[in-house]
Amino acid sequence: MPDDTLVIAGRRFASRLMLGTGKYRDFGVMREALAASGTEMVTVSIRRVEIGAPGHAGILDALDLDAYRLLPNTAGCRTAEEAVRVARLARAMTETAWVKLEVIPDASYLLPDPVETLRAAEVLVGEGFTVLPYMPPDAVLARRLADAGCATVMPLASPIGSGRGVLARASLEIVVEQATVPVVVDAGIGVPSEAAAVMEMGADAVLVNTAIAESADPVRMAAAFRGAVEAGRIARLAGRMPVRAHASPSSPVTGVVRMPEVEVPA
Amino acid sequence: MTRRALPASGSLYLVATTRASLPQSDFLARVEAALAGGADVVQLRATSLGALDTLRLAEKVGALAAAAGVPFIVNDRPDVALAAGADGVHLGQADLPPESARRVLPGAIVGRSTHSLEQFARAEAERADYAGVGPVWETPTKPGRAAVGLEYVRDVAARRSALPWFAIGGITLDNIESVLDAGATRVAVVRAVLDARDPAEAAAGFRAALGARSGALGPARAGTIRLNGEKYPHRDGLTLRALLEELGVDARKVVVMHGDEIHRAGRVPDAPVAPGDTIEIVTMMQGG
Repeated sequence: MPDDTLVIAGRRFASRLMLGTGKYRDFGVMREALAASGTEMVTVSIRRVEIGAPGHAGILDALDLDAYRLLPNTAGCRTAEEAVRVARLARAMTETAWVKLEVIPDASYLLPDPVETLRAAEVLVGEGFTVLPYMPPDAVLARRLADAGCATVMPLASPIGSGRGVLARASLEIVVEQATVPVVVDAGIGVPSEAAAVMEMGADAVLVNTAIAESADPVRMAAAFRGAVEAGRIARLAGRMPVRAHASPSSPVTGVVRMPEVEVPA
Repeated sequence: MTRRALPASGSLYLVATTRASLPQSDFLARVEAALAGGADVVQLRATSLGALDTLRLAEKVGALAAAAGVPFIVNDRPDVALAAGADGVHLGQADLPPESARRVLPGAIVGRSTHSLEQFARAEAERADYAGVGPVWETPTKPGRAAVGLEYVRDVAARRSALPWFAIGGITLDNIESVLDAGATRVAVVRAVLDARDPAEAAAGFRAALGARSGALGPARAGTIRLNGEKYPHRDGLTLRALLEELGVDARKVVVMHGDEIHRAGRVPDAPVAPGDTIEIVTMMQGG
C-alpha cells in the first residue's frame, strides 16, 4: 500500500486514532488502553492544584512521554480569554505549543462557542501555537478556522461523552468535503463502527475517550477502535461501491439451472 | 452558579446562631464584624426560625459572606440553602444524609457534625466536604449534648484524614491552645466571637492563634493573596518557592502563574509575593 501517513502541521502520524486520558478507572488501565489503541497522540487537561491536598500529583508520572505526543486541551474554558490563558499555561506545562482549543460556555450539551473559538484561535496562532480547534460541524466555520491558521479542525459527531454516534452526519460530510486542513472527528463516538463510518466518510482521524474509558473492558475496546479506524481508512482509500435503488446480482445471470415451468410466487 | 470552596487549614468557621434575645440588626452587624476580623466561613444556624424567616435572614447573611468573599453555609436545610444561593449546607446526625442533600444541591459544600470516630468514618465514606468534630466542651448552643472532649479531637487528628475538619464546642481564646495542641488546625466558634464585646477583634484573635500554629500562615490582618481563585493568607517574606513548599506541592510538576507571568515546571523563581497578588498553580490532569 502507498504511504498513508497523517500529516498535521508538518508532523507525521502513522495512527489516525487519538485518545483522551479522562475517565479511566485507574492509570494502569489507561496505560494499557493507550498501548492497545496504537495511538501516537493523547489529550490531557490543565487544572488548578488542589490546595490542602498534597500528593495530588496529576497525570504527569502516569504517561510515557516518549511514546505519545501530548495534546493539552482548554476544556472547561468558557471564553476566548480563559482559553488563551489556559493554552499558555499548557505550553509551559507540557513544553509543546500544540493545543486542542475548546471554548464551551454550555454545561449540559458542552457545545463549543464558534465565535469565541475563532477569536481564541486567531490569538493563539499569532502566538505561535499549533491550534486544533474543537467545533460544531459547520463547513463555513471550518474554513474560517483553517484560514486563521489552525492545523486541523475537530468537528463533533454528537455531544462530548454522550456516545450517541454520528448525529450530525450531513453537516459532517460537508465539513469533510470542503476541508482544507485535516479533519479530526472528536466527541460523541460510542462504538468502533461509528469511528469506521466517519473514516469511510473521509475524516482524517478520530479522537476517542469515553467510548473506550467507560467500556467494560477498555483495553479490548481500544484494540477494537484501532481496527475500526484502520478499516475505515483503508475502505476510504479503496473507494466505496455505488449505492443503487435496486439489487444487482453478484452471480452470473445466465446459465442458471432452472426447472421447467415452475410457478414462482409473486 | 459558581460556589466558593472551603478554605485551607488554619481557618476560622463562624457558626452564626440566632437567638431571640439578639435583634436581627445587631446579629447581622456582629456577623459582618466577625467577617471583617477574618472569619473564613460563615454558617447560618437559625433553628428557632420558620422557613420564610430563615430564608430572608439567609439572603442577608449570604450577602455579607459574598461581600467578604467567603463561603456561606446554611444549617440543616438544603432547601433554604438552595433558595438563598448558599455555597453549602451543614448537616447534623439527625438531618438528611449528604447523598440526599447533594440531590438538592449538586456541587455544593456538604458538612457533617460528628461526635465519635464512628461518625467521622461515616462522614468520610459519605464523602462529606468537611466534618465538625465536637463538642470539645459543653456549650449552651447544644444543651444536653455531652462533651466528647479533647480526646476525640486527638483521635481524629491521629487519623490524618483527607477529610477537612473543624473542632467545635465551647472553644474560646482562653482554651484554643489546648485544642490546637490536640491537633486541630481549624476551629468553629459561636459565642466566643458572636458574643464578644468586639466580634472583629475576637475573630482576628482566633485567626492569629490559628495562623501562628499552622506555621507559615500569618494572621489575616497581614493581608491575603488570591491563590487558585481563593483567598489565602499572606505573610511577610513570602516567596513563590516558600509558598509551594508550605502547600506541599512538587515544584517540578506544576506551572505557576504569578500575575501575568508564567513560570515553567521546575523553573519557578524565588520571587517575592506581595499582598493582593494573584497566583495560579496548575498541573497536568486527565482529559479528553
